[in-house]
Parts: sequence; C-alpha cells; structure tokens
Amino acid sequence: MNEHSVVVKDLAKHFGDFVAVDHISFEVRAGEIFGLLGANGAGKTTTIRMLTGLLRPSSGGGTVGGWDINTQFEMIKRSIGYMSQKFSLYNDLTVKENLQFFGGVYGLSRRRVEERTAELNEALGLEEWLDRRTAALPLGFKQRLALGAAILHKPSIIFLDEPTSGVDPIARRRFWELINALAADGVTIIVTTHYMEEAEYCNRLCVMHAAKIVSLGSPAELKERHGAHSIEDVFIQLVRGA
Amino acid sequence: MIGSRIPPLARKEFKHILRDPRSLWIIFMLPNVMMFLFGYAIDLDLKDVRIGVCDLSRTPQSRDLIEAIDASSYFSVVARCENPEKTGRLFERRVIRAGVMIPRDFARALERERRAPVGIVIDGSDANSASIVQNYLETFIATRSVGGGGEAAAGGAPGSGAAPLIAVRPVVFYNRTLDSTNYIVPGLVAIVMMMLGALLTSVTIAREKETGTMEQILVSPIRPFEVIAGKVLPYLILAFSVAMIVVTVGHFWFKVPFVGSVFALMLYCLLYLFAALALGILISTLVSTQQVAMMLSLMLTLLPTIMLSGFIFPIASIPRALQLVSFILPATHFLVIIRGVMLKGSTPADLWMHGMALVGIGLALMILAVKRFNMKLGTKGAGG
Amino acid sequence: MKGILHLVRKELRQIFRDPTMLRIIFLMPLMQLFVLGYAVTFDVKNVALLVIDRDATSASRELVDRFAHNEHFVVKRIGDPGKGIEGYLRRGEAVLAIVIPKHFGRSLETGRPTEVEILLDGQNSNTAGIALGYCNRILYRFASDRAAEGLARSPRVTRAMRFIEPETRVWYNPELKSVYFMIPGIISILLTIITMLLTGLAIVKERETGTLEQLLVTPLKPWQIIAGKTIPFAMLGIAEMALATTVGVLWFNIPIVGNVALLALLGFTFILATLGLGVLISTMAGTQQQALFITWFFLQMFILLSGLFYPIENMPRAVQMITVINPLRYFIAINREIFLKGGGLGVLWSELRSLLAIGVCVFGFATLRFHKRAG
Repeated sequence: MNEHSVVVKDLAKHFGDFVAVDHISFEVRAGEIFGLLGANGAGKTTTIRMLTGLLRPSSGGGTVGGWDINTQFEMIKRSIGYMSQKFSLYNDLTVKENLQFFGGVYGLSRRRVEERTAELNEALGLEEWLDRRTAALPLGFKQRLALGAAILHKPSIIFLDEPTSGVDPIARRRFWELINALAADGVTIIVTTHYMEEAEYCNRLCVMHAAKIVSLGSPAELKERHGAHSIEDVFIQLVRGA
Repeated sequence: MIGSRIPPLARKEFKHILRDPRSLWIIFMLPNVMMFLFGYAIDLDLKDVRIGVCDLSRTPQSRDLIEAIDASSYFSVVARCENPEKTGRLFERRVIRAGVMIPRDFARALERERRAPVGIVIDGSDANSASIVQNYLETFIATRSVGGGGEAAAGGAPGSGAAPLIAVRPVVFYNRTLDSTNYIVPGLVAIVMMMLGALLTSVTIAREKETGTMEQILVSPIRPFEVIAGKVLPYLILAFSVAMIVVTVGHFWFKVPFVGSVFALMLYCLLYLFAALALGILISTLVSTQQVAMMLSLMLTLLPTIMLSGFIFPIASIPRALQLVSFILPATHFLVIIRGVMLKGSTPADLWMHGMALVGIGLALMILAVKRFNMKLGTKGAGG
Repeated sequence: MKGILHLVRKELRQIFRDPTMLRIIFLMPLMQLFVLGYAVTFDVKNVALLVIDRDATSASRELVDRFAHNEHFVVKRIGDPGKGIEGYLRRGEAVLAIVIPKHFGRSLETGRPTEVEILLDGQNSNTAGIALGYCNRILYRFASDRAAEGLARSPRVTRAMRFIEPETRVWYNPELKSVYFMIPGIISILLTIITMLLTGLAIVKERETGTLEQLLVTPLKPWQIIAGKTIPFAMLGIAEMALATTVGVLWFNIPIVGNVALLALLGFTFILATLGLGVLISTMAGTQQQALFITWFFLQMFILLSGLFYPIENMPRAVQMITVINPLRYFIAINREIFLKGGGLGVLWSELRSLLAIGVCVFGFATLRFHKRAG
C-alpha cells in the first residue's frame, strides 16, 4: 500500500460562480489523524464530500487508499467509513437494527455483524441500548452509534465530518479516545472540526479559510510558525491576515 | 393581552413561507396550471359519438334516418354493416359505442301501422356516458317521428309538414349557451382551494413536532389557540391570494360570467378557506410525523371532495345516507355558493343556509383542533 | 444484490413500526371504497321540478301525474307565481319549471298544436340537457298515447302522424350500473395515491434527514438504492390492490367476466409505473412538502383526465396527448375490459405496452437524475 493513504492534488469545486474549494493540496499518511480546521463555510465539508465520492470535483484530483477519486469512487466507497454531521441514522430503527443494516450494506454477514458489535461493545458502550429505538438515544450515544456504523466493516480510512457537534465535553473526550485507539491500530482518520481545542488532538492539521488552505502542519509546528500559544490564536491570526 | 402574541407568530410563519421560494412558486403556479388544463379538458357535451348502423330496410325512409343521425353533431356514423351479427366485433374492438338496427319492414310498418320499432344497442361498460348516449339516441330517433310530440330537432322531421302536437319551448336561465365550462370551472376553484388549504396547514404543526421546534414554542407563555391562529393567518392570506387569482383566470380567460357580487364571493372565499385550513390543522394535531399528515390530508380531501361535493355526481342522485356526508363537506356548500354567485347572481339572502354551514363547519373543525392541541399539551408535552 | 435485500428489510421494518401509517394504507382505502362506492351514479334522479298548471283540466292533470310518477323527477306543484318562477331557480329550489298553458286540454282534443314552456337552470348543462331530454320523452309518450286514442276519434288529424319507437338493449352492463366499473376505478385511484406519495415521501425524507447521503457513501449503487426503496412499496401496493379488489368485488357483487390472472399481471405493471413516478417526483423535490404538492398536482391530473369521470374523446387534442403519460388512463380501460367485457391480452396489448413504456422511461429518467445529484 502507498505510504500516503490519502493524496489531494489541486482539488477545486465551484457551484456556478461560488468557489467552495479553491485548488487545495495535501497528503495524509497511514494511521495519521488529520484535521481540517475552519469556520463554517470554509470548504471543509465540500472537501470531504469530494473525497468520499459524494461530489464530483470541478478540477484537480487525488487518491484515497490508492484509488483515484475522479474515476474509481466505487472502489473508494468500499474501503472507507463515513460519519456525517447529522449522525445520519434511522431514528425509528433500534441500535442493533441500524448496525445490522449498515453492516449488511457493506457486505458483512449477520454473524460477522454480531461479532463486530460484540468487539466494539466495550469501546462504544452501547450494550444496554442495543434494543432501544435510536430516537431515544441521548446525543452522545447517537454519536458513538454513528461511529460504530462507520467502522463495522473495518475500513482503513475513515472520514468524520464535525463528529462532535452538540455533544457535551465528557462525551467529546471519550470520543477522541476512541479515535486515538483507532489510529493506533493503523486506521487513517480525516476529521473536520471548528472546535479549536480538538485541533490539538490531531497529528497534523490544515487550516482552511475561504476555500483555501492557509496553513498546514502539526499543531506544534503551527503554533511555532505563527508565534501563538494556542491553535485558537493561530486561527485568529490566519483569518485576520488573510 | 389575549392575542398579542399572534402577530410575531404569524410573522415567523410568513418568513418560513417566503424563505421557501420553490414551494411558494408551486403553490401559486399549480392551481393555475390545473385550471388551464382541466378547464379545457373537461367537456361533458356529447360530440361525435361513434355509431354503427345496420340498415336491413334500405328504403328512402331508413336512409333519411341514418343521414339525420350522421348529420347531427352528437353522433357520427363510423360503420355500416349488413349483418347484425357483426356488431359484436365492432363493440369488442371498441370501434363503436352504440349500434342502430333498422329492421327489414321499417318503411312498411311506418306507413301501414304508423309505428315502427328501431333497435338500439349500447355499450354499457362505460355506464356514465352510456346512459347519456342512450338518452340522446333514443330521444333523437323518437323525435324523427312525423307529427308526434317532443322537441322538433334541427332540420325537422323528414318530409313533415305537420307541426308536432305538443311543442316544447325551452328557456334557459344562467349559462344560456349551456357551456359546460361555466359549470366546471367554478367547481375546479372549489376543489383546488379545499386541497390547497388542507395540504398547506396539515404539514406545519407536524413538521414543527418532528424538528423539535414545537417544544421551543410551547415552553414560552404562548397559548395553544394563539399558536394555531398564528399558523392559520398567513396561510389564509396566502390561499386567499391564490383563490382570487384563480377566480380571475376563470372569469377572464375562460369567460365564465360573473353576475353576482365580487365582494360577497370574497367573503365566502375567506369562510371556505378558513374551514379548509382548519381541517388541515386538525389533521396536523392528530399525527406525529409529516409523512402521515400528508398521507392523511391527501387521502381525506382528494377523492371525497371530487366525488361527494356535487362536482361530478349530482347530490340529488346519491343515497340519502351519503347526502349527509356531502353536507358536512365544506366543498359541497362552496360549490353551490360559487356557482350561484358567478352564474346566477345569487345574493347572500339566497345562499344564507350554505354560508351558515360553512361557518359552522369551520368553527367546529377549529375548536376540535384547539382542543386536540390542548390535550397533547396536557399529556406528554408537545413531543407527540 | 444483498444490499437491496438489506434496504428492503430496513424499509419494511420502518413501515410496520408506524401503526398509524399502516392504518392509513390499508384501512382508509377500504373505508373510502365503501362510502364512495355508494355515491357513484351518473343517473339523473330526483331532479327538483316545478309544475305550473294553468289549465287544470283532466288532460293537464294527467300530464302532471306522469311527471310525478317518473323516478327522474321530484315534483313541486305550485299555483302560479307569475313572475316569481325565476326566483325558484335562482334559490336552487328547482332545476326545471314546466308551464302548462291555459287551453292545453282543449287543444289536444281538437287536434290543434299546443306549446309547453320549460324553464331550465342551465348552470349544470349536462344535467339540464338530460333532464330536458327526459321531459321531451314524457311529452312525446303522452302525445303518442293521445294520438293513438285520437286516431280512432279524428283520423283526419292524426293521419299524418307516424311514430318511430326505439327499443334499446344494453350490452356488457345491462343495468347500467356505474358501480361495476367505478369501484375498480376508485381502487386504482387509491392505489395510485398510496404508491406515488409514499415512495416519493420516503426518498425525500431520507434526503432531508441525511441518511440518503449515508447510503450514497456506501458501496450501494444508485439503482440499487432506488430498487431498495421501490420494492417494499411495490409489495405494499400489490397487497393493497388484492385486498381492496377482493373486498370491493365481494361487497358490491361486481362480476369479473375476464381473466383475474391477467388483471393481476396488468395491475403489477400499473403499480410499477406509479412507483416510478413517485421516485421521479422525489428527485424533483427538496422537501417533503414540495413532494406533496407535486404529487398532488400529478394525482389530480391523472384522476380527472383518466377517462373515469370525463370522456377522453371529448378533450382537445393537446390534452389528449398529455393523457398519454397517465398510467391511470390505461388501467381504467383495462379494468373496464376485464371486469365487464372479458377482453383478453389481444385487446389490451396497447395498454400493456403503454404501461411498460411509462414504467421503463420513468425509472430510467429517475435513475439518471439520481446519478446527477450524486455526482
């Protein structure tokens, strides 16, 4: 496998006159936690959607897991996991049924889904909720369920779009522990966020503003480069300056 | 102060409406497109009905009869056959809708005995037009008689010099041209407005329940009836605007006469729409998801309004028990009202019963809706 | 392929989880069927008729009697309101008024032509025309009977008269029961409402909640997602059609002259066409509300232009061309053939072809639009 799990080259997307992503490039190594940091509307979600095959790039390209995002998105879909901003789950199905469904759609047999659910039980903490309707779950649990559904088929790369929106700090912390555990196992994780302190948890991150990447590097590098103590300061500097 | 919270609620609802331009466009365009389509499409007058003729007599008298049938605008002789047995196939292949069989001794019987039978066969599978065709055809043929009774049709009876014994002088009031469009178009207005009203409001409360914003509203000191009033008001204005446009189109484009008072019609429109919106709100309070609200409102209004309001089937003809159901439909009353005002120049004095019925139905629905809404609050909160 | 199975199972689970929806899908059509089934009649009956007898002889009274005993009319006899007759029409108290002139009886006896005035409320031109026709027939028969008597008494006068008498037979539906083809028609309409609306709403709802996006990220292809959405509703539709048809036929004693299996097959193609339309509509709507309105538009158009209530032949060419895409039009014709005339595939071949064409086109178009949204 390529040393770089995800490669993005000169990617751009415009909707009519509106430029959502303006020629960005970056590379993510296997097992890295890579963050896309930026305000709402900066272009993070659009970028993710191009990488997951939901949106066709206007120009530029790249590879995900070695597959070309312009021509081989069918293959890409098979090897990635995705968690959307809305925690897209079926509210009228139970936790178990949601897992069975998504597992099945990725080609896992019923038994395999059960095995995986058992494996993930500890990490996800959803055991007592298995037969409850998803609508009844508190937000933090829904979040973990969404993640669980995304990793049932053991993808090597997962995309998380604003995975902690609206979730309380304790649940958020717990979630990031899960992410770290996954990364330690070699899973590449690409995550978007607008929470500054979460950016610290990433191995590397790129700061997006107005459809462009304004800075890229590890949190430490960024802080040094811009003479700031926190990522928040880095961000404010970059945005003001741009 | 009671009702002081209604304006901000109404304004919010208005913003919702205006922020969804596609829906707005659909709401205004759809009824008008429907009017155009159906105004032209629906024509009840009998025209060029396909007749097959079997002339076993082959005399001048029988030929005259056949020519008269063909010459009439109602009928069109498309098949002539020698053999009565063949008519079956013509019906099967849907070539003809009715057959006329003139027996061998037609002319002789007419001269000697002064009465001659003629056979008619009707394709009864389309019972509605079948009975109309039967009626017209029988009357047409019967009045071909010489010097009998009934209306002397255009062209007069063949070779007659004698005037009919009992002549009929029809005098038509309202809709002198007997144009079916004048009858259909006001009916369409009633149908379309009923559905528009009910569909619009049925979704709103259910949607707020689904998205959770209902909770937000109910947490504030707002009273239930204020919530409902705040929802009904903007849709009332919206639907009323659409209604006025539609009526204008009907009058100016389709030339439907407008004999009565415009102001009276506007007032009745408001009452009617109020009832329609109230129905929608009531449905909205009964269900918890948009999907169910939509299914319910569509199913409840589409067919019953078309079939039980007097739009297609005359109410006088339907069984008594069902006439009761018709009576509680707002559309039934509005149909009489709008046709009365536009075609007959009916005054509120003429229409007071129907006006009262509209008010009554609207109020009843609204009260029910407010009560249901209250109940939901009392039990589990607005989660629904 | 297994993906579709999962989708179908999930959809069915969701449908059966909602008892209200199930009740609406299965019970409401039956209820409507019972109510509307009794309402359908094109017979013109109980027409309110005003009789103004200015003659008051035995002849005129006999004429009035004939109207009174006729099932088509309900007679309100009144004196002579003079100019006030129009008021009765305007208030809707009567649809017709017959004025029998002063010397009616005497004219008949001496063989002199006389004239009866009929005032009509013309707003419903259809009913007015039919009612006028019935009046004509009654008058005609009256005259004919009088003439028969008069023939004996004054041959000179009645010599010129000759009467042509139509004798009618009605085929395929001798009692002209509207019910026989209206019930299948109503069932078809209810079926269309359910399949079109539910499918459209189901897809738009997934788009609104974001689960559609989730599905698009998986290895599932768009056509599989569409299949996974339509198959459950196809199953529901078939179940509903079977249930409603059985109940309707049994309750209303509707004869089925033709082949039931053929009906089932054609019904299946019909459902496919309407489902496809539901999917197509879902690609046009951004919210469930928009889907509702667009579906309403199509539904109303399909229903009124289906040929069930108004003859398609009477419609202007342009409108007739629009009905070409109306699946309901074909299925109504199919119903008529199979229930009443016993026609087989030979007769219904063009209907089958049209339904299949609609189904294929619509699904194809919808899948294309799906791809576009995804890409």
